[in-house]
Amino acid sequence: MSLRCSTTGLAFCWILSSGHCLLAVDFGKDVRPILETHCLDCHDSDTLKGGIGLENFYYASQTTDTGEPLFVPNKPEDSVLLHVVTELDPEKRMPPKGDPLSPQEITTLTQWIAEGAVWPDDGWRPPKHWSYLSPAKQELPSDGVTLFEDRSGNEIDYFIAARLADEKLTFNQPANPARLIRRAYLDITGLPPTPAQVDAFTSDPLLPNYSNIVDQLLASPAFGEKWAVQWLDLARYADSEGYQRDAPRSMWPWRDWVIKAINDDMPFDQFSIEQLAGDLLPDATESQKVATGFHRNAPMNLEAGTDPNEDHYKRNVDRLHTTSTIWLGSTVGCAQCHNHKYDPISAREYYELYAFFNNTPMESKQIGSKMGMSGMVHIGPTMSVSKDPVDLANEKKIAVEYRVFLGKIRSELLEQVDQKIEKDPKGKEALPKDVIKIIDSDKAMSLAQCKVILKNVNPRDKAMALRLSEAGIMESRLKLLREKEVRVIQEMEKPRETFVAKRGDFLAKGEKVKPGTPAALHAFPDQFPRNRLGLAKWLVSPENPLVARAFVNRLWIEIFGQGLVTTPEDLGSQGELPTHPELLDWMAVTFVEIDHWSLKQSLRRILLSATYRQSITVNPDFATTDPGNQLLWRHPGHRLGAETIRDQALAISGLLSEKQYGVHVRPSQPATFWRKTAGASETYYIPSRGENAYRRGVYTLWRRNAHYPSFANFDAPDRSSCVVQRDISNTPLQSLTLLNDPVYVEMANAFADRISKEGGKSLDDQITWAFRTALAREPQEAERQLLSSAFESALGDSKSKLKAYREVATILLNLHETINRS
Amino acid sequence: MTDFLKQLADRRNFLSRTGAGIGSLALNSLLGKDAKAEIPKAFQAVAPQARSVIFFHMTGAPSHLDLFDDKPILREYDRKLAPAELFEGKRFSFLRGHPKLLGSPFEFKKHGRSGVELSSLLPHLGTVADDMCVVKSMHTTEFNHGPAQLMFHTGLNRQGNPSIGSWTTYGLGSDSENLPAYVVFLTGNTPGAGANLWKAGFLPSVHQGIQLRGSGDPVLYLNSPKGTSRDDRRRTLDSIEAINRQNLELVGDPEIQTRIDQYEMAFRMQSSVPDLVDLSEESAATLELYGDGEFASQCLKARRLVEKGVRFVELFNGDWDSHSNQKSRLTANCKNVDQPIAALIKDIKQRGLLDQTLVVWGAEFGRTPMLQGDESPEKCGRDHQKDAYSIWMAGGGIKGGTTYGSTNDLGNEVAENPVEVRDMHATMMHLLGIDHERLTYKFQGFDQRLTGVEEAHVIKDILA
Repeated sequence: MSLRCSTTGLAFCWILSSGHCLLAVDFGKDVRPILETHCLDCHDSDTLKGGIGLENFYYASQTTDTGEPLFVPNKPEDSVLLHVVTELDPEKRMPPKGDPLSPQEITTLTQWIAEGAVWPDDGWRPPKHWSYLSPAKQELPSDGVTLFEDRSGNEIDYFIAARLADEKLTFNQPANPARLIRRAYLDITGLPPTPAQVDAFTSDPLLPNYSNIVDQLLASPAFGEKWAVQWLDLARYADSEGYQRDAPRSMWPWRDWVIKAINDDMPFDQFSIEQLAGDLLPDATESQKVATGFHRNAPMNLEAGTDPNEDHYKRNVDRLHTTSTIWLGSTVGCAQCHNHKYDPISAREYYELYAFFNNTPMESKQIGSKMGMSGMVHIGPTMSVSKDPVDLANEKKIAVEYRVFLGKIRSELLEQVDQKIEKDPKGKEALPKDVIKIIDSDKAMSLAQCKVILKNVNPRDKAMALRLSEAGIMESRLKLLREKEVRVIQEMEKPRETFVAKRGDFLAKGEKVKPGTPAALHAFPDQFPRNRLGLAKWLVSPENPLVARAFVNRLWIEIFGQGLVTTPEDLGSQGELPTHPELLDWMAVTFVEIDHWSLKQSLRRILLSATYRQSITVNPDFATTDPGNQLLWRHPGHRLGAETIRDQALAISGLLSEKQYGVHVRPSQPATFWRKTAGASETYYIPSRGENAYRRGVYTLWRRNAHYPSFANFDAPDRSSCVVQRDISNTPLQSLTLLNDPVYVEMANAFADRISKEGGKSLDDQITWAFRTALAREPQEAERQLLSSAFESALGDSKSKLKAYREVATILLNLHETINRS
Repeated sequence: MTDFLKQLADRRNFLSRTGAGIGSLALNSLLGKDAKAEIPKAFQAVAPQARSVIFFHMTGAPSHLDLFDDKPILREYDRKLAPAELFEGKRFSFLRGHPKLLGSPFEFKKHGRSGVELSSLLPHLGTVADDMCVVKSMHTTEFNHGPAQLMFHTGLNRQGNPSIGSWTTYGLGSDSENLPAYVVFLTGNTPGAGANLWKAGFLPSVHQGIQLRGSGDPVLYLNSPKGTSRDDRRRTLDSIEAINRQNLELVGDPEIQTRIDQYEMAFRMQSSVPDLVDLSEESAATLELYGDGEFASQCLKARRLVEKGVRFVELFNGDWDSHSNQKSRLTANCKNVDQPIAALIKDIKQRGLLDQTLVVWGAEFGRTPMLQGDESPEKCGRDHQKDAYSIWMAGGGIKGGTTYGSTNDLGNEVAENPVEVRDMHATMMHLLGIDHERLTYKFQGFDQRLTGVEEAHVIKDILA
């Protein structure tokens, strides 16, 4: 830097002494030609290399990546523009190729800046991107809409049909009723219909009946358990901290809040405000405070030696990115380090947005420092949530279980102690003091004391060690229930100051900023408070052109596998254009104005459309025109999500527990899986017993550094960061999971048992029942025969009927159709 | 019908999600189809030197000052108060107050024709010193394990981004029909950032690393349930395929064909993976070369993987985090890894594979010249240091028998030729024939790169 200053200073002195500056410099005549000759190859408005443009007033008046202006009027010595062209090191000098600027040209630039750097505003501004304009109320297209035939459609279909007609495509045939109703059940509740539920539709497969069933499903408690998952991915909800230690955290009351809010169809604007700023609402209720757990889901680095301020900065950055991805459908992330190259958000504006989140107390601190090892602990705000009768009943049940479990351990350990005393000639005196103290006490042994006894008396008893670990899990589960604690967001009374962090380095403090929103977006009303509540209201105000589009696009992804904008994390200028821009706008406007931000209403509209109700069959001619089915000439029949695949198999096999809410559960996975992939806190995995082994996927323990492998194999994210759209992959690991994961093997066995008992008398009846239970529809003759002969050959080899039924069950649980929408 | 479906499958993959690009084509080959011929060459800069990578990560961070970067001055001023510029205004994880300097208790010796200098803790590596290039001027931005490990693997200090192994398979696909393209081994303490270090981040999830485990199923859920013979399994798969094929005929969705292929791949993996991890075919001489222990056996498996065309093999070993007892800890850790790693280099060299296999050995950061904790020779340790440390590379287009860069007299700062993490990534990509600036994936509105937005440089001086 000192070098740069001195060179500029040199040039500057030279100019002053040479007495050159007699006539005033004219920008158009003198300066612009220099820029055109030397700079615009890389710094025109299209290339913008390094985020710097010199073609017009608009870009030239932006700051550089580090937040400095390109030139400071009257101060050539402070102007970056001059520093870079006078740099002595040819590696760093501008322009990087070709001749350096001549002394004459440098003089002209210097004089121009010294005279005030007048750059007349040519009025050029970057064109506004479609998504920054408010969605327009769209007329329904009328051309080419002759496509419904016997199916009545709705408004959505007009838009889809019009685009299809443009490409000379048409809708598919209606889906077979059994396939359709299975699809609707899975999409709405995440659970398959029973054969009786299928019959209730196939006996009357007309639209009114379909519509009634859809309404019933939308009202069922299972709806929230299915639809919470997408929100949990966005909110990066997990039951562990992430990073180095990945220790457990208690956020489950927030997860339950989401399920309830979705089941209550809380309007999305309110849903948003409560989660972003529930604590700031007047007379905030307990539920509104719990909602703020949303942003406490951000990962924390509790690794000893972490700088709490740095982690605080990183967490708030995460909050800002998550917020902008969800409610602005775009990423402001680039502006963390420099001006956003493509979308109109400057680094300064980035930190103005950041400032909304910065007024919260510290969430971690270092302990026990000095020269020795230190640690990090969580100190952020938490609250205890009041318990309902179900919580209390659960707590009581587990408390009793735990007492019985530990009681048995205690008596067995004491027996071991007695044996040891008997065997040893020294008797009791041979025992270590710790042990004697414990056994002489009147109080019942605690779990920790049991561990001491085992260590001293019978350290090789692995079975007992395992039981003690299990008791530890029960104890911590009981604690989670008892405390019912959730982390929440609070506002500090005295605001924390926010500075631009130069190049994203939180220690490099730049300019001080106040909370504010980017100028390119809709205005922040004066009557809104400049805090998180104001921000939340601003995000869901009808003036926000992005929020409703991003929302309906996410619904579309969940239902059709890809969005109307195929880059849902970016509706900004670098994202893809919508496939159906008018439909996207129509749905966005309808969502706000007609449906009043109702998820259920918006979803219902999609589910009742002819687009949704068409068959998945591929028309080879259409596939040539539109191989990605972006125009929806068929239902895509895409794969089910990780949780739904497991939930469905549990339902088919009759094992599914319908119990709702509560502390996370632990489905079976290899006991050593954690040892190899997790931090220091808990290493040996002990699965839940009983009903909790068969709960719905939404309740599965989510550990960021080692998340449930069967879900990971089906593309469930580890929730380290906000995820808008899951992959839909198709891999051999999925086949191995469905064939060999002991959880699926157990389900196949249970299903086999059901087939033999509930399926009817003849093998044909049983196969039909099994097929309908798994896939809703009747098997075709060829399919029935294949399953029959699979049964017979398994029976022939083994003479075991059980094995033969298991064969049928395994085949059905592994079919492509079973794990896909059909 | 089949031809049409294949065509459709190819086009569908080509166009899926973010609209094409190399990723989806490479994906095809990960799914066991040979799509090599179709991979566009847009990101290829030069003829590739390396075909595969073996990446060693010493979790917890070994001391460069005791292994690669000898500092006689530290011995001279052993246990004297450190000069102020070493700690004033700097950020450490644990060091507080006025720390003392710690000289290395280990001797250093020159090795091979090239005279690469190594600690007495690494006698076996000394025998392959002429193949190694020691980079003494690595530095990073992070001084805590989790973020630094993420930085070393993904180029960013936070979770949610693809690891270098995922980027590699995304770019180059797999040459192996029956094995995953990106394989991960773990021994000892697990890295703090966990599976995030071999996750695919925002890349398609097929690019994630697959962990080969030492006990139980080598790949999770690989083995059929007890009592299920290979014939039983074959029969079940035949039935599944027959019904899937019915469905395919009816619906015509190419995804069903892919599903059928995946079940076949799973079946093949059920024999190819156990074959891979079965070392009984290896000669006594080979087994002896590698020595005993889990890490040694993983090194040998790494060679077998590379022979079979697996693209990226990573071996994590821990725990190297020597805040205390560094002498005994380093001695034990080096004893555990020195022989097997040297053996691996010799073994792949004699099989003619070293030229096409890039071996990289490193960690998330280095350690301070200042002493931490108890001052006794046995109990003392060193804190984390981000500003300077050493890694080494070998094979696959690397100039052997060299050192690159240097640190100052105390080893706490880079003196010449600093190497950023992104430079290391750029160099590795270059050796694989990839232009790191052109290996991109569109996510969140812009072309994401392993090497990020800041300029990264291929370290030309270490290329053969």
